[in-house]
Amino acid sequence: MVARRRRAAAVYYLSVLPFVLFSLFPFYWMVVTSFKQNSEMYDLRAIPFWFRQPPTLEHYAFLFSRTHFLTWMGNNVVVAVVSTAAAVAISILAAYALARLRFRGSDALGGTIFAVYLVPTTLLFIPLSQVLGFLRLVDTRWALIVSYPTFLVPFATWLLMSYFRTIPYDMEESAMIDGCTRLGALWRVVLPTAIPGVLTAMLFSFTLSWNEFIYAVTFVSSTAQKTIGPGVVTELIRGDVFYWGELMAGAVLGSVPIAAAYAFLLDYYIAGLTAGAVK
Amino acid sequence: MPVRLTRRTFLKTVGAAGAAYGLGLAGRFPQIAVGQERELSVLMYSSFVPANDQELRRQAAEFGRKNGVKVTMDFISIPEMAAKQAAEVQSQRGHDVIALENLQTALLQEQLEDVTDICTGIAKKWGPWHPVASQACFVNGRWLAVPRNTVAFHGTYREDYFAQVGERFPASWNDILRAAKKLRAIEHPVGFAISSCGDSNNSLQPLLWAFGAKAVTPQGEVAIESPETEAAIAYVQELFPLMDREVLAWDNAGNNRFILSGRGSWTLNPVSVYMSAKGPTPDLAARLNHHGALLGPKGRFGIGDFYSFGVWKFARNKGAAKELLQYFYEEANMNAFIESGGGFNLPAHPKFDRHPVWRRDPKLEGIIGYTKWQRLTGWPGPADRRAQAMWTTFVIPNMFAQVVTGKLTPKVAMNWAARQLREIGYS
Amino acid sequence: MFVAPAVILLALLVAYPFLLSLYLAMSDAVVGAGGRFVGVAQFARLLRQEIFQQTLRNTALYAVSAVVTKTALGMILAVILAGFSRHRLPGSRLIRALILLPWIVPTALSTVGWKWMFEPQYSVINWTLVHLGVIGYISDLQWLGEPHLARGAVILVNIWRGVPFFAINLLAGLIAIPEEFYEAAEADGASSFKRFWFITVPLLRPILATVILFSLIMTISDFNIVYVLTRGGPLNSTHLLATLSHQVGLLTGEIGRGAAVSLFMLPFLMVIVFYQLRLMRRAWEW
Repeated sequence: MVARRRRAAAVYYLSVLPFVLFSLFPFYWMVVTSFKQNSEMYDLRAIPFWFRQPPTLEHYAFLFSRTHFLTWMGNNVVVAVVSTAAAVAISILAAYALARLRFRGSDALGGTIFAVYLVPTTLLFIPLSQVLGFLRLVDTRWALIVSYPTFLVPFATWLLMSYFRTIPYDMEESAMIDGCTRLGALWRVVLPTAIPGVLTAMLFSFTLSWNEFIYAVTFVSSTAQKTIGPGVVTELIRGDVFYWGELMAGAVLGSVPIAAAYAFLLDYYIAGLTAGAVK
Repeated sequence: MPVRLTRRTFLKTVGAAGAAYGLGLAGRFPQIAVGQERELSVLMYSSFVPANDQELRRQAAEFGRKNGVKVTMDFISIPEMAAKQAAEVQSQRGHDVIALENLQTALLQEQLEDVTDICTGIAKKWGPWHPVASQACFVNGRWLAVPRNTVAFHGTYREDYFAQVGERFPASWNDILRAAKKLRAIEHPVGFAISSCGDSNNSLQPLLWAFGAKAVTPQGEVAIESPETEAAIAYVQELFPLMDREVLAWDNAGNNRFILSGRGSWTLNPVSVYMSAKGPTPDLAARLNHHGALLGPKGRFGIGDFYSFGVWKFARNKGAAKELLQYFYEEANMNAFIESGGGFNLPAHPKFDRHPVWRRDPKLEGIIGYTKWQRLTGWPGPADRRAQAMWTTFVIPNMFAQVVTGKLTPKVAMNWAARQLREIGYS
Repeated sequence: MFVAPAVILLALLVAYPFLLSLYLAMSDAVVGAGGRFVGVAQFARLLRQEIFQQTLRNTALYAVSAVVTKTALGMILAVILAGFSRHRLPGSRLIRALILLPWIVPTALSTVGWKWMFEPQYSVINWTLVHLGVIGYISDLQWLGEPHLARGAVILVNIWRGVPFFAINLLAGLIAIPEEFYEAAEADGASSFKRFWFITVPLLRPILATVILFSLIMTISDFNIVYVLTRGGPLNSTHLLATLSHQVGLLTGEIGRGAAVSLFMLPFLMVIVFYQLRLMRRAWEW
């Protein structure tokens, strides 16, 4: 019996191994390259997988001292946090209304909100840049904070809507009989129960915000307002010279915060999906 | 009649004031500040040589001090400039002075101030501009931008490899072909990009011109199908096998890496290769040299990325903007600017061709006066959106690429290119 | 009132720009000069252009091959991960986190990493192949220089990024299937394949369909990967509708035409979202 279990376990570990290697190899590569000296990077005789010359911190140092990387990181954080907060707040309200309140056209409205996904960011970026230009928001973080919720809200609403539907109505009912307003019932009764769903929505939104690229690259061109993605891609490539070491260092550092967030919250994420998405 | 200060009125007023304050804080209110005319802002490309940017900042600050104007200089990277210009045009506000690359002056002509007085003034003082300057900035009878500098595509080569095969300073495309055969044998081949990148546009256009070929006529008619083009294609067909196949995948940095790795012996590029080698690998830098425009059967032509400064029509401070541009062109200032570039930026006006920066370092002597051979991308066709489309869709590099990879025969490829050009809008 | 914020946001920043893009697409607007109304001329002109036809083909190939592969690999990985959780094998949390990395990390940054891996002269992939004796010289395989290889390269990166998304969502679905179903079936003598086919797949269908449709939308409108790796080249072999729109609209300055290019995504997306909405409605009634 034990041997059979051991064999089954071995099969699982072995079969997951290629996936893990495939997922991880580019990151391993990015990390190693970010510590390599320039002369080794361009040395055709060196073995790429490990170091021939001692590793160096010069690329990270360059990133921090000679570029505005920290500013970009700060901008990324601000934009992601604020737009996530705004989007989730808006979505909670909308999802609650669509899940609970039967008003005329609620089905159609729900469908419309989700159908907004029909309009991907890569379709809107040109006209949206004009709208934002008119609102004088172009080239500021606000352009991003204001536009990101447009693609965060539909999915978050859908997720929370299906989550809310799984929560039995009686709790709110009794709260409202006791004198709560609807908003109060939402705040005091429903949300605490819905924490996993809300967390999933927040995590998902934060991810999409953190990683967004086309809006960020189209709407913002001043160095001080950029986020990490455009900053790294546009400023670590000067003319025809790619600062590969710094690019890799920037890529590594730009990924760390979000990886950390997921490491801690992954179980909630799956729980939220499980309850909301499948039912 | 006295206004009755009811609670509602009070609250409304306070609320309005608070909102105005908030909006103003957030910067979305138009600034009605007094003394608005004493501010000037400039948007410039960040140069490959950081010292260039610093020098411009210094000059702008000096100008500001002398004239009581607050000058702000912003720098952004070249690939983002198009979107940024579009955004400023859309909202009809932004900087006062805007940097323009290649065809952008012609493309944005309806948004730019007339600066004929500045440019003709300079020509009166020092003589005529280089041809490429007027091609870029003289639009429909007026100067719409002040030409500044060019980043040129002269040649960079390894003197030692060339000497090893008994070759010297290459002066013609034939020299290159002859040397290429021998250089291939010692496994240090030549190379230029035949791919979807700016460098490829900049390598192949002068080649076409040197063979007397052209994509379009000055009237905008397609003229790529010609015996001259065939000759140019035949040349590249002979040259390609002597290059590494990877030139088909190069981006703008490809040829730099090629030379810096020690393998490459020749390419077409600005002095960025030499400059980036000087620090980490000085002996490689010591073996590099440069040469000017190559001679072909029908002439000698060059190309580069050409930069000028324009003033937006919606600029808030046009007078000061023009004065700043004039100031940049004072002899001492232009000299200082060129000096800070270390030779990377070639001048738009012949007056500065023989600046000491290119005579001090013997390696840079080969490129003195290159600008006079330069033509604007799309030449001899008119400078307009179609030329820009030809550039961004890489019609010329794609034509050559399809021939050298055996996809199309030269005649079919020329025909394909002609179709592309017609789709772009040429006749 | 509850729904108001969402509606206002989407009306202002999605509906209005969308209508604007329709208007732009029917004009010849360029940067720096307004445009006149030209009806469907832009669309007609695009359809006649080779580069656009090529882009349509590229987009179709990219979307279909990537999504099919991601579904297959995602399913396999989800089953494996579900096994980990069912048998309570140690390290499953770590493995899940590692698997998820490609999807959560900013695509622009990880794609830069891939660009270095595909780099014509220093490609680590080619280096490995040379040392395994598969190819002769390190620059023999021009990943980003030959059209077929370039297409493969961008699809590969898309798959690398997208498999975690499929896997995690399908995993959530698998976990939700009560263990008793399988035990009952096993007691009745069903083989593992039969169990998979008759229990797992039907129960997974809603979420599978949702994930596939979602991924189709994201893949058809993809921009990042191609923009960073190839900018649409070589020879326009990797241009997608989004990258072409960027090139035409912003780099060449023809805003009207750029908008028209992006709008071609619309019909496909409409079909997809229609099916997705139908599916969601059915799922709710479940």
